[in-house]
Amino acid sequence: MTNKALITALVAFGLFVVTIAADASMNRSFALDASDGKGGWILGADHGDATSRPTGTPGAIPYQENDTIDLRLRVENGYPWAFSEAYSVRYNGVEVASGTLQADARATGTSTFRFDTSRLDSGPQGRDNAVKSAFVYLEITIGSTVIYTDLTLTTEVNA
Amino acid sequence: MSQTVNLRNVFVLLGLVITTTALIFFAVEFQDVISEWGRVLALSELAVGFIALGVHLEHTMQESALTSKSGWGWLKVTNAFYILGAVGVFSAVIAFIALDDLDRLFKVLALLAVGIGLILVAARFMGGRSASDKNGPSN
Repeated sequence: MTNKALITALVAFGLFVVTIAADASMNRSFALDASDGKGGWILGADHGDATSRPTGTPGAIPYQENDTIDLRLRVENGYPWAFSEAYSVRYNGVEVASGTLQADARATGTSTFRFDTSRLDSGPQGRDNAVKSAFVYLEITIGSTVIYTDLTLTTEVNA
Repeated sequence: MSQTVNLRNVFVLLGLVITTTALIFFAVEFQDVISEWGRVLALSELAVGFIALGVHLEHTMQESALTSKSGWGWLKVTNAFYILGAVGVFSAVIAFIALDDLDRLFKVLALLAVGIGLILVAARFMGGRSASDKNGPSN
């Protein structure tokens, strides 16, 4: 009995270490990329699988007023099983896009959506007459994970 | 009470407090390092380890209450491990309740089943204390 208890304790503590090591080595992160308008993507910094943390913001995104910008939700799935979750994107409390984000085991998955810049509640601002900026604060819900991101949009304004 | 016994009391109490703090720290601060399910599993494993260690020590060491003062009769090395096991189980249950993947109805049913099951298993398969244990050391 006493040897069994001791062995049980040792096995449990050993499994504890293995569990943490194995779990910590697997993770899943999300990022929001933005189109540069020339067929490429401005990559956002990865963001861990946690709630209420700001995503890495992509660099300044070129846009035209009353146009659309292409955004891409990206998941880096480090787990040995596939990932698939519905997502929705909100701007000022209004859902502006939705879809399903999927990735195979230990792979990257993406889902592209469009943001209509006519939705912006304030126009471009800035001292520089040539280039002005607008800011977009998006709330993205992926399954049970909520992430927030600030985007900086820049446009050339004719004086 | 000798100084040795008093020092022993302090060590056991400190060990209990520090390990409980470490458990809470692990349960709260590692949520971005390991998954929700991993946290439930890890806390459960710790709880099993503590309880098993308590069972092992209960059968291998001659133990009496560390102090004869009224209200401190519970302070034993084995009890310290059982208390840590209880804290571990409680933490695992909280982590289980916090799982986003499961429906809350399933969580309630699972917790009720496990809780009542534990009581019934204890009543059915585990013997009570012997008469000599009940009498205990005379105060």
